[in-house]
Amino acid sequence: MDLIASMQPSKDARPATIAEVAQILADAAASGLSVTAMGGGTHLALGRSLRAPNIVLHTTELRDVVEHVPADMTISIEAGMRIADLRELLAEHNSRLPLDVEAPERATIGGMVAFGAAGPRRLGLGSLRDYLIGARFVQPDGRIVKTGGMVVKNVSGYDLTRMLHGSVGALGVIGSLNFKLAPIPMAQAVMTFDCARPGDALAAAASIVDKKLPFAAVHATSDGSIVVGCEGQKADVKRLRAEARAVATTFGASEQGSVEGEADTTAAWHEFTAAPFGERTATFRIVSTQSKVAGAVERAAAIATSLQFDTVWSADAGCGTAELSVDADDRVDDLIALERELIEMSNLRVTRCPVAMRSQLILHGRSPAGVQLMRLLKSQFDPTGTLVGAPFAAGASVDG
Amino acid sequence: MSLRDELLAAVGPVGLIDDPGGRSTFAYEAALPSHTPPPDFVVLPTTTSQVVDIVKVAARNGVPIVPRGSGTGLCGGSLTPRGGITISTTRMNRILHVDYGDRRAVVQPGVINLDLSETTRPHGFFYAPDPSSQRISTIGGNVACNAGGPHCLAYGTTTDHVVGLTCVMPDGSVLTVNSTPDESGFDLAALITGSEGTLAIVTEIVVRLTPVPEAVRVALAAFETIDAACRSVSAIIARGLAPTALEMMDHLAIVAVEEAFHIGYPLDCGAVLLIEVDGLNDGIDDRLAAVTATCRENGAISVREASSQAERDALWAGRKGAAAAFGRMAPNFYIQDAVVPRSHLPEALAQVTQIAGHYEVQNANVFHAGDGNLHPNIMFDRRDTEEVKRVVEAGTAILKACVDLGGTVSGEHGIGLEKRDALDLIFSADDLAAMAKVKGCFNPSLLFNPDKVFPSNRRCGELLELAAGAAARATKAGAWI
Repeated sequence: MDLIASMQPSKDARPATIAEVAQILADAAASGLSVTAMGGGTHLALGRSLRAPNIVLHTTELRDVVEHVPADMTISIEAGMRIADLRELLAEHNSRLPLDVEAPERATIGGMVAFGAAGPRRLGLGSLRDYLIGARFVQPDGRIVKTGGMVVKNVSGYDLTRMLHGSVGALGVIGSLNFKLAPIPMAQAVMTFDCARPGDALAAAASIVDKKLPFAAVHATSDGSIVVGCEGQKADVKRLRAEARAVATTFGASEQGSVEGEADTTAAWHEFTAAPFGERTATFRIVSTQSKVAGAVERAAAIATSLQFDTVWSADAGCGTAELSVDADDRVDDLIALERELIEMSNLRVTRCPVAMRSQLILHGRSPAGVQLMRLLKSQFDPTGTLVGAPFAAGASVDG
Repeated sequence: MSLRDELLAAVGPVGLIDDPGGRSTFAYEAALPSHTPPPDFVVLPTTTSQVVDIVKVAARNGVPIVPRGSGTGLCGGSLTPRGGITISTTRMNRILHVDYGDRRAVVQPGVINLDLSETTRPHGFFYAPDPSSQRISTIGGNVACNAGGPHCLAYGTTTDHVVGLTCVMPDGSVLTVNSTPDESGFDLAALITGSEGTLAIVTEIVVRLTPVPEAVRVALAAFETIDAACRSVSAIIARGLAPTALEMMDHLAIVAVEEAFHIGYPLDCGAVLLIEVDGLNDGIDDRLAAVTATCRENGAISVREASSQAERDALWAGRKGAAAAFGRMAPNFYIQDAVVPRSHLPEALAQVTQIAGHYEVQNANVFHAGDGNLHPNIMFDRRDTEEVKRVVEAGTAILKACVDLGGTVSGEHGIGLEKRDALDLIFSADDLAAMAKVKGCFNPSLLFNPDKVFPSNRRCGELLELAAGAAARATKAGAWI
């Protein structure tokens, strides 16, 4: 299938239960076959494969609710549940998780956790890491491991649950995940302001964050927009909107409009996460700090522009991260050069790139601190090297 | 050179305690049921590089190392059953750097939790995890135990506020890690946080600072029965009202606190619920009104809203001083830390009462109701060995009852020595083997805080040895690339 492009697996497996996942992995390990787990395939760029997996294990048939206790504000779901379905299920009980991701009708919860996703409302809502309370994952030898539980506070043993967040399926295949849930707030709004210059938008966004008020999100974008998320009681949202407006005005920004309510704000945030150049998009997630992100994204944009890339970016002023996207088209050499220069400049990782180009990029940015220990963990959890994965540990995989 | 001389060279005479009187202090912590032999040496380093030197000395001599903050742990995690070296972080007490623009602070592990909030509050920030011991417990100790506290209902536990860690590893190397999603790779910070000093010795911590909320409201709701109070908690959670804190005290706890502090808690009730909400001035009254209305609908006999900062502080002082107040009721008390799904709180509390009756022990409940995190406090006299036996049995029975209700054995205190065999109640051999693999990777010599966290049975001991051996072999073979 084209999604996994050059991998050309010999077999697709679609287990319907965690026990079947265990059987597939145990058989693969015993026969020396390699496996890559895959959810909706929305973040395949993250994995760089040095060798093609023999089996692509699709988690998308694992979509049952294991346990949902609305009164406890907790849920346990299988890894292949689609984000859109999960969101709908939670909303029926007035609850939610930070699930802003592109293509929610395809992306899976297991993929989002394996990828270590953090959406545009991270400032107010956090990332999925903050909501994980337990999991079941299948080790490459087929043994199923339970971590955490269904209680919202738990320090019983090591936190293997959070270890799975961002692990790109390298230590085991995620079978199910348990989360505590957040309530959907009474009122929500997404406001957009337009500034004359992108630099003004960055400065205005930083000033809004400096108010130290509970905004859900504050972003500046390359088209000179400021995008602000306001959530809470009705009176809170009214106040937050007034505060954002007051700051934006001092930077000469004009209010372009706003959307309100759970459905429309969710749609607005999904739109915010969309790939600007479709399948030709390459996106670099730049990790900086609140005080330095404006400078970092402007320098990154200058580098991309100097390489003649069509470039768009958004900076999360509240969290100190930025996403820089370019139209990679078929310019693989230029993209390699861009990645190299950006890595020199900043801590980053690639979150999107045309699938055909990924084998030529580093993808994970600089070697993470502790990479030796990570390789050791990989060798302990996957001594047979069954799960091709973990770009930082020089394998590859997964997923979305 | 003797071990003593080597340690002396590392930390100097001011940094070494080896007289029997000085060492004996380190044979205790706030935990029951017993103390252990004291460490052979206590060292008090001030820098990461001194810790490196100490660890290298210990590794060369094959001596175990146990890190220790203020000794306020409640499960024996800082005790030294094999003697060896205790690294006290008491002198590593500097706030190294605060960056308000980036909302983070870099601290040494011996910084007292509350000191960080007091330092940052004038700038509009605080450090959110607030264990009840925060006036004395250290941030390093909080990281070791992944400490919670009343406000973690809204703000999350320590792990949610740790951005990065600098650690000394068992071979004396220094490792700096960051947490996901800002770092590619496995979340080593998540593994180290809550590992109780068994994986690495944390020497610097980068923590997230949280803006001080504009408005805070505190109310105290009184209920005829603890069951009614529990039902209120369940209803508040189910309605998604998301208070900042939701703390419960039963009648015996209220009496203890009133006798000690004379705060004005109502004595003619079965339980009180201490409620805090925070946020903007604009919506705060609506928030509090929704919570107090839910309490009234569920049988609250009175709801008192604190009208001033002084009154708020007083209501909280009762809650945070409960442990001290118990000191007036009995020579000793034993605090449990089980967690149940929040909708099972009424059943769990009923079983705790039944178990206390069965074992003829006096029990007071003061706990983080909003999280379902029980803290039965069983009163006893350490000198009465028969009573100590009943207390321990009652504690175990409570853990089993909570696990049967879908809960777990520790919410925020940790496993340490005391609860390690209780892990068998919730985890299979395969689950524990996965944890042992982690330990084998970080701590292959098993010299960092031995005998903690993992069950004491032979099977588990073998598991640890196996994992450590495999990891050591993988290192020698150049590992997996």
